Amino acid sequence: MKQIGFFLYILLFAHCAKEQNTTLDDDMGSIPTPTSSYSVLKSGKFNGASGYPANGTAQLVKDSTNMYSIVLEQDFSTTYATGSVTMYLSKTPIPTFEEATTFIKLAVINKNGFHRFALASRPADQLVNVVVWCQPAGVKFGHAEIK
Amino acid sequence: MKIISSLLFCFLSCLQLLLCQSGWTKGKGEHFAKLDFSRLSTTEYYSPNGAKLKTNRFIQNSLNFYGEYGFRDRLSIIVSGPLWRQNAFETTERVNGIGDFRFDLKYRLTKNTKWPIALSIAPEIPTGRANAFAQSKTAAQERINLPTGDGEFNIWTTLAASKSLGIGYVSLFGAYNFRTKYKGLPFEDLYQIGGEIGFNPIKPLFINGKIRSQWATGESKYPELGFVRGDGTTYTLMSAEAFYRFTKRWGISATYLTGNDLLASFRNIYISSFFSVGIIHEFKK
Repeated sequence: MKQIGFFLYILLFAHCAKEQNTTLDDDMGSIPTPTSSYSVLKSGKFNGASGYPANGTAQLVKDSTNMYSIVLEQDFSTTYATGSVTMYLSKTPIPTFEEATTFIKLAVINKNGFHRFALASRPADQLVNVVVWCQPAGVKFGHAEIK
Repeated sequence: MKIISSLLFCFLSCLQLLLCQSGWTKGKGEHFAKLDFSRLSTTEYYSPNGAKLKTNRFIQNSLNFYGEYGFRDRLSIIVSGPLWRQNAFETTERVNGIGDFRFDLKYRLTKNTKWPIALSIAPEIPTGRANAFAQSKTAAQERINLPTGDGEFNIWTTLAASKSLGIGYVSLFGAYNFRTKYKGLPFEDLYQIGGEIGFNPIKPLFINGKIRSQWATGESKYPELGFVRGDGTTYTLMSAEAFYRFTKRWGISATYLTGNDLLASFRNIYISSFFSVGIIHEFKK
């Protein structure tokens, strides 16, 4: 049998995500940094979806300067097996990306635990779902309805 | 019984989906080699818990190799796997790499070649890219891991029996996959049963039909192993293949794949059209 040569690729990867940051999306620079203390306006618990886990608490909060944020409490967890997830505040549990007024992109994250996503203004009352979304595949990993 | 009209393909599958073990081995010095190309394009996915989802379009191109060599009259060595695999979603860049290769040592237990029974032991080596991040086309911070291999060493053990039927044959097999770990997380073992029936209606033409069902010893316990590494994948697949020998040693093949949940249900598997074409080289004494 003729000798068959296999070629193997040498695998060297540089992870694009900055490991020391939990938020990968830095395009919210126009929003001032919120203060550390805040009051909780709405809250909800995450449920997993599509066979994937999502746990913990999501909150809509306001600080002393009347700045609004979406907070993921320390107990937040999901899976990052695919690399990272994108967080949305949405009218519906599955965001309707064709209608720009029905969702706000919060950030791309790759770690569990506490996160705070500052908002430009008070979100519309119809935006009541904090969604964990796998953007490349278009699959929901979980959501929390905040009330 | 739910019948899937579209064809099936597993996210991390390779040529093993089309392999159906037989009781025969190659004669000493004989060989059979096949190189085929397949393309997957689908939006239908069954999650690890069996939920049917519609996703962004997933595309996988593969160049697969299968080679069997008769080391001794009753002992064959088989090498199989993807020489090249390319993965992407419609929303991401493409990633490329070699897949995981499998090395079978197959021994025919019986001297009788009309009712052969063979046992094979096959380590599957993690030669593929265990991590291959595809960047989003629209957002630099977004990416998804689409590995070309599962990053794990495992061993298949297969017992197969065949019966010659004049111009045709039939084969049955059972197989067990002892899986190991990836970064300390254990995979669920897998087991399969399958069968094949083949005919040689005219001298240069061979036709076969195959069925293979796979189960897991449990549901995938770790999301890190599920979608990305094919943990707990279950399915029933059927294929029809035509192989035309246009010279004494060379031939071409075409294969069509479909499936249903008659035996094993769908878990952690992409559903897609699957059609492959290949070229074959064979040497017989």
